[in-house]
Amino acid sequence: MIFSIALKEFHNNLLTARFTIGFVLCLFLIPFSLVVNLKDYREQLKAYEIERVNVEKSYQVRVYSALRPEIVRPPEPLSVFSKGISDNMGNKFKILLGRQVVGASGLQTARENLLLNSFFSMDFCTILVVILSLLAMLFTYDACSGERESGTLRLMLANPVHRWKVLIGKLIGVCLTLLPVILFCFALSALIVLLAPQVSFSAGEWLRVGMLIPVSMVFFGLFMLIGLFFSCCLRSSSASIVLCLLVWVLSIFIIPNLANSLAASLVAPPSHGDMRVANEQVIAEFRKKMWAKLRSGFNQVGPEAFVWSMEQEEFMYIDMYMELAGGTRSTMDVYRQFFEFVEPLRIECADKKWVFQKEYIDKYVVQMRLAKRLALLSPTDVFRQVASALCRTDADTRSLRFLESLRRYRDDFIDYLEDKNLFSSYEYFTRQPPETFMDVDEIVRVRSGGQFNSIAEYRQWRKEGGDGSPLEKVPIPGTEITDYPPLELTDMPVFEWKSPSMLGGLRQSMGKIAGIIIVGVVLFFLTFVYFVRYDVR
Amino acid sequence: MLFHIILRETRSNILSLRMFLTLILTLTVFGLGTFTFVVNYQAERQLFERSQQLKIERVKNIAEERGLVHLARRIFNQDFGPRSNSFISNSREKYLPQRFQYDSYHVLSFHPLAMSRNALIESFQQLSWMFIISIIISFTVLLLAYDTVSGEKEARTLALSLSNSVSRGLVLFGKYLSVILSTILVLVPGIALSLVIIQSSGKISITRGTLVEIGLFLAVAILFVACITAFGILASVLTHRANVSLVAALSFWLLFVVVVPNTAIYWAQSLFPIEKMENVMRRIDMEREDVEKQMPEGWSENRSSYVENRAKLENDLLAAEMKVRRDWYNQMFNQYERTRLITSLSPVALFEYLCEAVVGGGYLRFRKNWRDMKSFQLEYLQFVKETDANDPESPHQLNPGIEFGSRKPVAIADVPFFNEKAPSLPERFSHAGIYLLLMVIYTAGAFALSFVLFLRYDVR
Repeated sequence: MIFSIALKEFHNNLLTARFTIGFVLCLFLIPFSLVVNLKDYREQLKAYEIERVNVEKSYQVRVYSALRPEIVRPPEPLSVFSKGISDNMGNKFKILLGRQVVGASGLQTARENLLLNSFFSMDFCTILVVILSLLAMLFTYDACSGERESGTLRLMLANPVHRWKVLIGKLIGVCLTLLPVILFCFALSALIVLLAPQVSFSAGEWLRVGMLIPVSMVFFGLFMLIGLFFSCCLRSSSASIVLCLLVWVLSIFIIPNLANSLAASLVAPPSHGDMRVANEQVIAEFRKKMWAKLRSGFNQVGPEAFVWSMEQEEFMYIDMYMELAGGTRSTMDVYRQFFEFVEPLRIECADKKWVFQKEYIDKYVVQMRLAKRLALLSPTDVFRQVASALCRTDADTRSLRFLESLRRYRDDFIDYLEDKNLFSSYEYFTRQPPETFMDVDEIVRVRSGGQFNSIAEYRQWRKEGGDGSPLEKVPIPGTEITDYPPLELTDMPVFEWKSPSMLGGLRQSMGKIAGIIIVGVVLFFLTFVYFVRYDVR
Repeated sequence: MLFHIILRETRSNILSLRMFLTLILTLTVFGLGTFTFVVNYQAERQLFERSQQLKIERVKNIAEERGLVHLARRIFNQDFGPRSNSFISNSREKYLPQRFQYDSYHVLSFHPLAMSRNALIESFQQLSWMFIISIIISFTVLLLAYDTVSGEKEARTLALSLSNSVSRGLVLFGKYLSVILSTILVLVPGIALSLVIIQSSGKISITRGTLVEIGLFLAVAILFVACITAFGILASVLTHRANVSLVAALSFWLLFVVVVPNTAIYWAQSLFPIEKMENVMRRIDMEREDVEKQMPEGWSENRSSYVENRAKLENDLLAAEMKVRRDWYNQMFNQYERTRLITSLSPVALFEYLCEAVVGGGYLRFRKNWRDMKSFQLEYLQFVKETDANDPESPHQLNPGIEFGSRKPVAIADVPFFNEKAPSLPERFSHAGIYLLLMVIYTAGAFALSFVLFLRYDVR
């Protein structure tokens, strides 16, 4: 009996205009959203490939002060299905001594025209939830009240059939109608992804997409029950449709936007300017110490200070690359002591700044968590949260945990430098073996082919208007920085990012799914109670 | 007679469940939305003022400690803060560029202001009046309008109405006006509540200018409601059954709210593609090389004219780069504006653009500031040149590359700063023109079509 009721509902629904329109909307919207997202993904992939080659070149360094690992993150293929926050962060992360990993540089969005970001676009999961939740309610809102109005409910219940069987039959009927639509949406999207050039999903990723199917069914089940509930509480179908539609508008358009604005007003945004000022103070302190050390070192060396070949880059006191060759022993010692003193200080400075930065970031994290919690009131937003967690594009996976693991990696990297005592070694800034360091008069004598016997003579020559060319007469081997091969970095720690496993991600969302199921069961129970007491006349 | 019809229809609307529910919903959302606006605006204002203060300090440090020539070529950020009238419409300003980079020689680029939004949260819309009306009120309108004709036919009262000596056009027009009237009855308490909250917060003053904006907004909102109502009535006369008209009305709504706005990026990328960034950078490099080639042979060896030549080269290099950049920016503006025209298929998008014009925000504000910034930069350059001319020690060869100019400190009070000017009323009207025209055409078109269909409507 249940089966024949279900079949009847199914046939009824299939022939209606709402079914056709819902179907057409899916058919129309899904390709659009996927094409936009696939294009974004491909652009990001292209940028990633280019960056990756550059980054590999950046490991070709000759001294350790130049060694600052750079990590480029591949774009998330599943962002095609659920965009989440995957566009909100750049793709390049540099590990520096003087700064914790707080954000990214490099390509952020795939779109050339920044203005376009003010057009919103819905991803696959949003479209699914917008249209199918509407369909689910449109199929159920008149299940009882509509049949009562047309008088068929009375006829049906005149048969020897339990009311709960009728209810279950109707539910199954609607499920039967929705199921093909859901499967069709997924099949269509899978087809578009399969046909798209340059995009390939791994088996694990397909599995995640597959997991979206049962999850989405749980949600559409809930919307069906909401429709059925209203249909059984109210006697007129126009009242139940109004209620259903208001619930729908609330949960899709109002609650998510309201939750985000409310969270922003309940947790005040942190001040970027104040954080910057605090950081600048830390840097200023560091800068003073750094210059004092360098100056006192060179004051000791005096006229002995001489370096033949040198390259350096200073990055706003956050980090410093320096490479020397052909310097005097005393100069090299000044630099060795300088780095020995300054690099631990730099790391300490990063830790001090991190206190302010963490405070700043934490406020945003609190805001985000509150917004998500408030948005749980809307079943569609719950679905979107679960979907983005499954697609690895939620804030936790895409941003917070990733940055966390980068910070751990930075610690490992610093440990590696410290374990090898690199800050106090010559290798940190020169590859020239210490035993080949010469004193300054000797360098001038050899280089000039005997023209000058001491640095004083050379300086005198310069003062009288001579140029530097005599020093280029006789090159000394091993005193150009380019004379040395790149470092062999076999024992350096390598960054590995393991995104949380699918089961881990699901376990995280279990609470939300369970919540939805519980609400569904309660709703079903209430619907049942109302239906048993329903006056069919 | 018309009055009679309107009265009857409005009375039945007011007593209906949907009216009651939407009234409650609208009041709640207006209340909560305004509350979040007041709190967020204050916090954002504070942050913005703090960052402005820090910027002035930075400018001061450079001007007073490092001198004019450093000040002239230091790139500063010009940020645009929150608007006090954004409770009417926020115009997605957080997702539009709000930061320009400039020095005295050029306005380099525009960027979104990263710190104005939480990067851990997906894009969302503020609950401004515009948003509430374009989503909730438009939905309400359709709920009120979808069964005005088909519902009455089903209830068999339509035939009775028409058996009176009244023209069909009048009946339809009466129904049309009554839906608009009922919607205004929902709208006005919401707006009033919102204004009360803003007034009582005491932090945001409502000036005469704001009142004019509110008035214009109400006019635009009523036009929008009229437009959506016309589509609702159209859905109603399209079919003979109320639940089919409901589906038709919902399809209109989905088309306007979901389909058209959300496919914009697809249209932008496929119909109006713009040049790739790499390509632009390559063009800039080529232009710069050309400029370098045009310099006289061996100019850098010639000590006597080196400073002059170098300054000329630097100025020409920048001019060449900016020519390419401006061209590229214009491509972006064109792409954006054309895409907007495509999204103008949807009255909801039109309404958003009209509101943007009313409050002088969003893209209108951005374009105006971008233009004004250019003239400000010329003024700034003029200031730099004049100050430089007053310094006898300066080589007077100002250029964006190397410091060949006065190194004297400049008093911070003399340094010009950019002052944002809100778009004037004529500017707002000219921005709104095409959108207003389209909205009127849609309204008239939808109503005319429903009129024709209603004349042929079988009431039995």
